[in-house]
Amino acid sequence: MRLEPYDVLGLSSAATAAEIKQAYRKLARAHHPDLHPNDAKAETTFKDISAAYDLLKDAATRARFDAGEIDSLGAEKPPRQYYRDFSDATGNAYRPQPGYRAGFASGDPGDIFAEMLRQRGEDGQGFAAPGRDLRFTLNVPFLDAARGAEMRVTLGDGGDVAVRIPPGAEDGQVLRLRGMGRASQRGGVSGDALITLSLQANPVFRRDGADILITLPISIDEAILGAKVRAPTISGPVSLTIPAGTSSGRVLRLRGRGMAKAIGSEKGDQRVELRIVAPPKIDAALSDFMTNWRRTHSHDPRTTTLSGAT
Amino acid sequence: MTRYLTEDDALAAIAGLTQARRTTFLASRAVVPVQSDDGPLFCQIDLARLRLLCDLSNDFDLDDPAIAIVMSLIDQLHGARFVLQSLAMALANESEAVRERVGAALSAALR
Repeated sequence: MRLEPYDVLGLSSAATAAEIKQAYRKLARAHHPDLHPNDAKAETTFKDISAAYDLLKDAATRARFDAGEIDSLGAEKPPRQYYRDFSDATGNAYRPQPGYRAGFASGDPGDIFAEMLRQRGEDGQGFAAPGRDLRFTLNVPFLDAARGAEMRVTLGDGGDVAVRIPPGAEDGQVLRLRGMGRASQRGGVSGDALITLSLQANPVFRRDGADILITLPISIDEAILGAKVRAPTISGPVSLTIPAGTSSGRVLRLRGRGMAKAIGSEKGDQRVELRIVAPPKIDAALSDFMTNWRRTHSHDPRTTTLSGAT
Repeated sequence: MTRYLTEDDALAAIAGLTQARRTTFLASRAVVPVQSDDGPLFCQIDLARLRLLCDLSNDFDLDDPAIAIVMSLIDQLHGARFVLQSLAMALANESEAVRERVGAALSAALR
């Protein structure tokens, strides 16, 4: 029993040609078997819709139908074969041919999915496209970077995570927090948070590779007579022996007091450059002594410097 | 045995397929018939695609770029369906235990 064409399209018999076309288009969009390959009932519904439309779209045929000259069966057509009926056929040349045939050949389902995910990811549009990476910059105090530290970072959406700064972290170094980036749209892996470290300068310490450099002021008497002084290191103050007769610019090496090296368990050194600093006030005793000393022990430390400059 | 139709037969077999449309569809490679010495030959799958293309352009008033997008999506959809179907067939040959485990994981993922 076939339905009346107007009923099929949901129209009254007074509908205009434009209304008929509009109604057909709307229904066809919803029921065209090739646009709904999973809908088993689509074919029957679409057959009714297109039969009704075939009858009514042509003004002359429609007039004859309205006048009762032909019935709705007049528009019956031989069954149509839809593209979806062929889509699964062996060797369908229209099927996309991405690389996952290789995955099938190996027979490992894991390979198939890995391959599919990889391709979706590359397309940037598939259901399992990984979430985007998010980039952040983190200002790290010098000593935290040198010694290693745990810092908290506020990620874009207010999330607050702990970040472990590795000992000896370098300026511009990027830490990757897996899965802390943007979530995937549809169940893929989340992106990563990429944190670029920006190291802050320190008034005392500088870096040279794994070595720590400092300039340590010493007094005239410490330089002449030698002394034991306290020197800061990144892991706290240590005792440092100034040899007697030290000049400004002399570098003492504190072994293993630098930063962890990137490779191996060794540590860098701390190099201490000594700088002789005059006392804030030159008293009479010092001045007198120096005057006498100059008279009897005068030496010119610039001889080689001057001759080398000519 | 696959039945092939010549260009003229194909034109006659499909209502609404004009010479101009057919040329466009061939040029955009929406339909890729077999090339022979006597010109292109269309098999049933080509005809089904031509009918779909005619529906899209005549009844849905899609222009050529829109048709290209729709056809690309339909082809991708069928590609994905084919993968799923192959997967289902591969799983059908597995033991009951494996199928149950995969089924449970699938239901959980789809929930």
